[in-house]
This record gives sequence, C-alpha cells and structure tokens, in this order.
Amino acid sequence: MKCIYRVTGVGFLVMSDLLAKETNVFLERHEEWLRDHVGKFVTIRDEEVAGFFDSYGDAFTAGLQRFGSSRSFLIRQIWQTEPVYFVF
Amino acid sequence: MGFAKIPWDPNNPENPFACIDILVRNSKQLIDQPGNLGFEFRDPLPIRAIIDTGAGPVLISKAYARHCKLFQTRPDSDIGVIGGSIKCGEHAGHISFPNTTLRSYDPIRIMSGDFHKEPRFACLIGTEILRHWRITFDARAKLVTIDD
Repeated sequence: MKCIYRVTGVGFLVMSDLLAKETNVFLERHEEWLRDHVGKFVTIRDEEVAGFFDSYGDAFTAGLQRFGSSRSFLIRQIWQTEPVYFVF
Repeated sequence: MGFAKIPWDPNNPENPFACIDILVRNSKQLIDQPGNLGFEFRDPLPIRAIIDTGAGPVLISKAYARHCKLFQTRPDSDIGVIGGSIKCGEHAGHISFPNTTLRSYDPIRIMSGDFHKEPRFACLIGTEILRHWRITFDARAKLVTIDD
C-alpha cells in the first residue's frame, strides 16, 4: 500500500496508508453486506461505519457530518462484481 | 433549465471528440466545514472534458486531481475497463460548466487516473452527468447542443 503525506487543514503533516484500514473493513464485511445492501454506498472511517446510502452524494454528506474533513474516509458501493466503468 | 452550444466538427482530426469546458473543485460542503480556512483549497482551472457516452463516472487525470487537492474517498486501486484495467482513485468534488447555464453537480464522484499516451486529454465526463442531459448533434451545422 502506498504511503502518502497529507497536509491537514491546520498544517500538520501526517503520514498514513491512505484508507488501508477502511478498505480492510470493507473487504472483511463485504460478503455480509451483500445480503442486505447491494447497490448501496457505505461510508467508513477507521472501523466505524457511518451507514448505507442510496447515492454517493448522500454517503459523502453523511461522512462529513459524522467524521468531519480532517482526513479521508472511505466510500464504496457494494457490488458482487464491480461494474466496468470505462471503455479504453 | 440550462443550455449549452458547442461547435464540433468530427472531421477535424485536431478535434476528434465533442468536448465541453468544466471546472473541478472540492465540494462546497467540504470547503464550508468548520476548521477549513479556505486558502488550503486552490482555485479551479478550466479543463476540456470529452463527452463520453461509453464512460460511467467523471474521470480526470491524477495530476489535475492533485492540483485541485480533491478529497479522496477511495485509494488508488485497479478497476475494470473494457480492454483491461486502470489504476484509479475516487474523490468527492464539485463540477460546473463555465460560460453555460447548465447546472452544477455537488457533491459528485470523480475518479482519477492516468491518460496514458494521450497528454492532450485530461478529463472525460460519462453517464453519471450525461443522464441528466439531452444532447443533440447537428452534423450540418457542426454544432452540439445540450440542455438539462
């Protein structure tokens, strides 16, 4: 996983694996969420789940309200197989 | 209802795709968050976006996403495309269309990836935006019109 530096709003320099922990939570619970939340967007920071939402915008708004903007949070759509997004 | 007129001659090899100018920046919801002072967000630069009916989300170059300091909501990872896979990150942002009356989108999912071997292009907009538009192309007048 790529290591990055991010300057926060107040100027501190933080080193982190960007969203690695959140991605692990998503992958660990993916099978469970497939049963009830297919097509929904889930918002996660650290191991905390903000909820399941119908749209990316709703998931983002909820993430900001719950976690703030001091660092990134994960938004993933729950699919059995991820859609093909582009033709290259 | 918004409206845009875009001149486009598909026979011109210098201009092979119908494009529209867009501005990309962080979501207003993010900028307005308590603790954000405002100066940490750069002013957006206009960018030419290909109108791509074969794409889903908006895709911008990684360089442009870094320039805008877009708030990232998914780390860079391989995503499937027809013809292989590309490494993309996902961001939340705001997209508007300068010099038109088309409505803006905020927040909207924006993917970032590298436009290999195509340095002239840095953005394409797909059906996540196009589904809100009615697009017509008049080949004789060499004109694309959009209304939403």
